[in-house]
Amino acid sequence: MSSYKDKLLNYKPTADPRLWDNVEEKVISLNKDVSTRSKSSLAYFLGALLLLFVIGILYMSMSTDSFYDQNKIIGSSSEVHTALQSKDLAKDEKSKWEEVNTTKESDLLDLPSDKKIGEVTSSNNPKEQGFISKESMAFVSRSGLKNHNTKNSLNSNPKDSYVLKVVNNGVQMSDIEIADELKDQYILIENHLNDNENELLPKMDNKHIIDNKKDVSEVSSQSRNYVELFANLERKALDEIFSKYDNKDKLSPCNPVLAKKSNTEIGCSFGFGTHVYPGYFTSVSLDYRLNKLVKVGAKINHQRYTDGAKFITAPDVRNAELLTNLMANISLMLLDRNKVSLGIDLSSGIGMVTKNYRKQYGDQFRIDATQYYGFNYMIGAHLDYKFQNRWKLGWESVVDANGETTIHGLRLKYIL
Amino acid sequence: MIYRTMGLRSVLLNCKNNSLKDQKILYEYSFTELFHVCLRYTQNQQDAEEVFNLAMLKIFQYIITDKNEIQNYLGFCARILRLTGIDYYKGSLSPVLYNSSLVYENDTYNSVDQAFEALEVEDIFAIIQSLPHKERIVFSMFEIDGFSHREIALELEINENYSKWLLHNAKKLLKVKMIQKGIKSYNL
Repeated sequence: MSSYKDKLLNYKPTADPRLWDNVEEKVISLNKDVSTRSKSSLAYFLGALLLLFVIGILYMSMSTDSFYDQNKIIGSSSEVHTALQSKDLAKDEKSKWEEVNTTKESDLLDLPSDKKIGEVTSSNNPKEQGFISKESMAFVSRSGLKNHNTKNSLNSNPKDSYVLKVVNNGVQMSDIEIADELKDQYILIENHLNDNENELLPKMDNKHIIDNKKDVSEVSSQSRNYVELFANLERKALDEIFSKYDNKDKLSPCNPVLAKKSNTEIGCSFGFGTHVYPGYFTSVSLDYRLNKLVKVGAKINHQRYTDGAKFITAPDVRNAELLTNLMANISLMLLDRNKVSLGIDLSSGIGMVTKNYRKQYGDQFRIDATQYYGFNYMIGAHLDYKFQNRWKLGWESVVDANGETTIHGLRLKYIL
Repeated sequence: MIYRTMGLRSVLLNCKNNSLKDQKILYEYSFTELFHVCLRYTQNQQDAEEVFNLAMLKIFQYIITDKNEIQNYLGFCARILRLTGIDYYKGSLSPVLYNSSLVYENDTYNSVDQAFEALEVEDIFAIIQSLPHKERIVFSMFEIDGFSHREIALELEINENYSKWLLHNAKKLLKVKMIQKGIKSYNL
């Protein structure tokens, strides 16, 4: 005979279908709620993730502003050269060429200068590419000229145009080429002058009119002089630009030597000690910045105890008044901005180590202390503020591993 | 039975994926196996069905939302049913505080089993359901589910001695009920 407990536990009624009907709607709504909740939670999660992502990007952009600024300042000399080539050189040369065109060239051919003086055109002929700018520049002092650079684009009507000069940056054309070219130009000019003699002659100075009988070789020699003149001008402009780099006293982004940020810094600190061994300390340190997160360095720490501390460390200690630590230091940078830096210092090295022993004599006991030079470990933190380009002022707090010494003080750093 | 061929594990898995058909299968399976828990902890059939539905909704919600797989479904389900049954009458449990002056006799009612064995299951449920809430819950937990008084006290957040006193009172009432039903052959 089974017990009544078995009867109860083995009681298995059949489910009434009406019961499920009562609960079915609730189950359906529950399924919908859960699915919508999971979707909304997913959307919430994605939204939060997106928000974090945006905040992260903003933070990164803020924290790396200085980094990119430094990169811009540091730059490589080649980048600086390129920038100057593309901007300053072009401006300087353009002004030089304009001057030359307006002054010197008018001596050679005193032609009316009312047509597009100093116009800059570009050519893709690789033969004419100079070492400074990628595209050779032809300064055409008179519009509509026919020359080998602008033959297709400008040769609309050779008869009513003058070919004056073709100049390529850094390209030394051979004499034969120049002569041939000038000869062609001369012929064109001659034709043009003949055609428009009545119109042009009153405006021209008779001294500078090129005679039809003038020797071509004379023109050639003059043009050669101009080419040399332009080349010299170019060199002068370059020398003037590069002379800016030689000025080491001037700290500017244009000076790659001075603009480069140094990773080495020396410093000194001084302050007071508290806890078991009160006193004061001074230290000298040398740090090298490995990257944005880690600095390594060495530190010599010189501590002097007060009289009270002497009493604590007496009698079984040596050199109780004075100790010097030589520590290797690793700084983990938590914050490294332009002005402010915050980091954790982990130091280990040779230093004075103190060990205390408790000795029991019946009811009496005493504490013996032993000090010796050995490996000691210290941990601390520092906060620096860069008040000048090369100077930092900060605060540091250090405690040694066994918690006996805590030192706090100001520190001054100089960036080498 | 469908659930026997499909396997409880696959049914639970499908329930997690909001399969209404499998949820119905699980509901019927749970009803067959564990409805007696609701009957023992409630006062009548209607309350038992209501408690069962409430508990099953909680179980479905747990299955859908929780990532952990239920290892012992029947044990888990029985616990949910029991706690739902207790919560169903929680309002009537808390106001009465245990009076330490109450004295209960030593448990002399060892022959409850013998008395109940002579009854049908429906009659046993009817007698248990006729007990007051507190006594019924403590009697069910102690006698049938096998909880100790300490565990009952922790579960119901009452004093341990109060639990003993409720059990004693339940058995005393059962004696009265048995006599009313004409069962006099055992010593309550």
